[in-house]
Amino acid sequence: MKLELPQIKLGFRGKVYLGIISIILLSGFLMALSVSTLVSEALSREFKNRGTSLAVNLAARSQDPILTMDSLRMKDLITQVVNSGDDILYAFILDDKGQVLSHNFDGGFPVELKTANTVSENQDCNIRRLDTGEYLVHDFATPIFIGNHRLGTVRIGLLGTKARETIQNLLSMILMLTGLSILIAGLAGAAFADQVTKRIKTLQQASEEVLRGNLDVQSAPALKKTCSELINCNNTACPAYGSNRRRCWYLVGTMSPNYIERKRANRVKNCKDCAVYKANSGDEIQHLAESFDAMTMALKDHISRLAQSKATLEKSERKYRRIFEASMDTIFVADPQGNFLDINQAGIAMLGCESKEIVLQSVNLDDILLEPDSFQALCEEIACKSFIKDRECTLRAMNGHELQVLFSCTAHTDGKGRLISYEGIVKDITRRRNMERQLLQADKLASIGQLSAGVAHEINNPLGLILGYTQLLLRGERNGSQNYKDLKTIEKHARNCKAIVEALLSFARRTETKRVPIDINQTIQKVVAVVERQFELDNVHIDTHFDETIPLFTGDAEKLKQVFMNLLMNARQAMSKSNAGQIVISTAFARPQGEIHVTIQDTGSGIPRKIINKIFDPFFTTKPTGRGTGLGLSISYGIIKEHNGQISVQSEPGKGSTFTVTLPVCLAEGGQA
Amino acid sequence: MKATNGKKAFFILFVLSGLFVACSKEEPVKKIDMSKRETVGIQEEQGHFITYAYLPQYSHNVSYQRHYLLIEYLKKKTGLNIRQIFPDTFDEYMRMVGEGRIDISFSNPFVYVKIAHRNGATAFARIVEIYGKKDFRGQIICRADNRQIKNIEDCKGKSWCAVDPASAGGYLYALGLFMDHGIRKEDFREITFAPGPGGKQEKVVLDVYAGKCDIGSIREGTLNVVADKIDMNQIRVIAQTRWYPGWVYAFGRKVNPKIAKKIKSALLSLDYDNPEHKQILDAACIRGIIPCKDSDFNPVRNLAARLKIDLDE
Repeated sequence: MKLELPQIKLGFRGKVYLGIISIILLSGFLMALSVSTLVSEALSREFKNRGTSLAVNLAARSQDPILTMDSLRMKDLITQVVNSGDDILYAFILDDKGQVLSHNFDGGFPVELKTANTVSENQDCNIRRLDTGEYLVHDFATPIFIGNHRLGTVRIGLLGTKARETIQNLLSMILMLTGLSILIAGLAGAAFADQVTKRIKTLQQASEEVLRGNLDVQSAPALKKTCSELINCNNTACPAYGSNRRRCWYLVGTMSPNYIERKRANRVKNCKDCAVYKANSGDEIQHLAESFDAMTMALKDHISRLAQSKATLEKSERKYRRIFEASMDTIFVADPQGNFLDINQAGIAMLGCESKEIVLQSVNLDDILLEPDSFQALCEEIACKSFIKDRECTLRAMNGHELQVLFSCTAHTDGKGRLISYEGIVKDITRRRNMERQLLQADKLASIGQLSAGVAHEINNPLGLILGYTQLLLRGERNGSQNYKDLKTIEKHARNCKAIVEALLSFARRTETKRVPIDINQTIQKVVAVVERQFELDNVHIDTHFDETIPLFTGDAEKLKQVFMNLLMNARQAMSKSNAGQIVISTAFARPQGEIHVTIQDTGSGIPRKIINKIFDPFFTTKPTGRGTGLGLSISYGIIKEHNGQISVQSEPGKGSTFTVTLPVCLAEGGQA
Repeated sequence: MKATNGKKAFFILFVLSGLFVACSKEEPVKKIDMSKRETVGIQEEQGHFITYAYLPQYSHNVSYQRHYLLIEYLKKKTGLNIRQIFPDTFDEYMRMVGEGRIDISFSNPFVYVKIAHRNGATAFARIVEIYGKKDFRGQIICRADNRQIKNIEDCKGKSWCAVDPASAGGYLYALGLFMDHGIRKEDFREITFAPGPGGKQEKVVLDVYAGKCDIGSIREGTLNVVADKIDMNQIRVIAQTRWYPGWVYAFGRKVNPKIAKKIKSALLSLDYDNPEHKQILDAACIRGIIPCKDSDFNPVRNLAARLKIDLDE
């Protein structure tokens, strides 16, 4: 099982104590270790030298007693040696045959000791440690030589107790000194830690203040003398002038004579020799506090400037957002795939969506483009020129309406030339195009009218003569004869021609319109009454949905009847005779625009897309030759225009067509025209 | 991360401790039993042996070194059990000769004259000094920086350190020289003799060197013996005596003539040109050993007479 030690978090003071005590303990340990080792070695060396010296000395002094075999002198010498130190356990002399000549043991000589240590002739002294069971003895053996002749051996036994005692005393002293050092260092460390922690705490409090958002803090001590006082500077424009808080060596734009703008990066280094720096700079903690203060001041300044920039930016953003949103043209941003990233309200309305989110989530340029038929084609054009301007395109809005637009777009790339987005403006010109088309139509009709009037006038008289003479000749022919039949055919076709000519004259003739207040609903009802019976016979039903609130319209009732008659007749003719059909006539009043809307919707065959733009042209007809003049819708168009109204058609082949007549109403007070 | 640092510190401490521990080497310990005891003492050599003594003019150490090889030679040559003994003083030497404890005596001519007179010792050989002379002489020395003594006459009134009253080269020859120059024993401020036992010649030189006395008397050759102990430039030789017969080998009165013959033959057969013998003779500071007779030492006897020395004392 692993024992988990408790986690103790030390503060700075604790770390200082721990560091100091660790260093002292470590140094004390190493010192004790090294000193005891060195002293032990030195003492051991000294001990060995002493033993060797004693043995060599005894060997030298015992030469003569050995030669004279003077046992008394030998005993004296040995006694002297043994008595010369407390740690000398024994001394004895052996002759050249290894026999003991003299010793200091009481009660006989230890037998094993005699051969326990030997020394060869080429050694000065041989040292051997012997364990007697009671003592640990260093045995020194030294040969006794006279010239080259060996007389014998001297042996001395020394106890190592003194050396051990000395080492133990030394270690005790080192231990005591280490303890004393820890005490002194602890006191000194406390004073040091107090000073440092106090300043660090100030710095920490300042830091916490900054974190709370208060940038008006000061962690470095205030200057006793400002830089301007120190160098007698009178430059009040200098940002450091007179401030006992700002350190000029941290200030950007200081005007100190020692400041060199080019060397700003090494500003503190450049200031080393400046009197202000020398007088006011402190140690590393003060440097830290000063740089912290300088940083908070710079941060405060920076935040202030940032707030200003943000306000300006927001103002600008609001302005451009307003322009963006209020633009009557569509402004959009799309990604390279054609997905909308942003679009203004005009764009949302143009695309027939309810909200921006729907546009951004579900609409892609590629899906709504009809002409050209893909967004990729536009992208290729943009890629060629970096932009396209007023490119006329056809869009289909989400509500199905086709729109004629002018498409202007630029590509937005990043620094590496990679395409990021497309930004563009789409101008809806559908109404303008319709108007242009109507103007064109009007011009065309006017021209044709004038031409037709001239042609009809010239043809009308000859036709009258032809018809008169034909009728005159018919009187003289027998009914049923061949001539009679032929004359009848001439009369029939002459009458057709006359009818056409009269229609032309009617179309071209600027007859005076008699404007009187009329009820559109009643006017339509009168027309319906004329044709309803006939239509019923053909199994065509007419439904009317009249808005009873529509005001009176000032116009020519007869001409308007002609218009509605034409439209009903066209609707009837669009239905095949064998199939039943329905015609729905609705009226409505659009009060905001002040317009009366009359729609005549049929369930006929509809109008093919390719001819829908031609149906109001004179003489355009889909009926067989002789069955229609092709002037009905043209005349209707002309009548509606005389009333400042509009007539338009929407048709879907196979499902039917809807003609809408819009008549402007000039509302008088009380809501009546 | 902290734990890692702690482990590193502990590891370093451990290694340091290991280093320190590794530095302290201890020799192996041998266990011995101190309880087993035996009685020991000097075992005297059993049987008859011939004793050989060298007059202790030098220390026993020097005496042993000089004559150890010679005795080994004699033992080998004669097959006799010969052992060197070391009397401490001249008087003890002469007494031991008289007591018959010294069979082969190697002494100066003055001591020989005395033991011949008192104890019937018989000279049978004398040595040729190492420098090739058959005779030897004494030297009178002082410190080289002693400006008061320039010649032998200046020694009057000075303190004199001599080897021994029985020393030939170290006292008597010098005394004879002083008498020749009209200086008597009473004319010296003080006459001291080197303390025994042994090494008396060297002690005279050392006393002069140490300034304990103004002049000293030694036999020629002593300065070479102490050349390694003192600065020889500090010693000046004032005068040298006349030549006298050199050191002499004599047999004690009780020595068997056959043994004496063997020994004499062995000694006389030593040849300096023989490398083996040369080593023996060099160790003894002798060039050679030549035969002699008692009358060869009459000049010494005459000197004793002149100095009024009683040979019986």
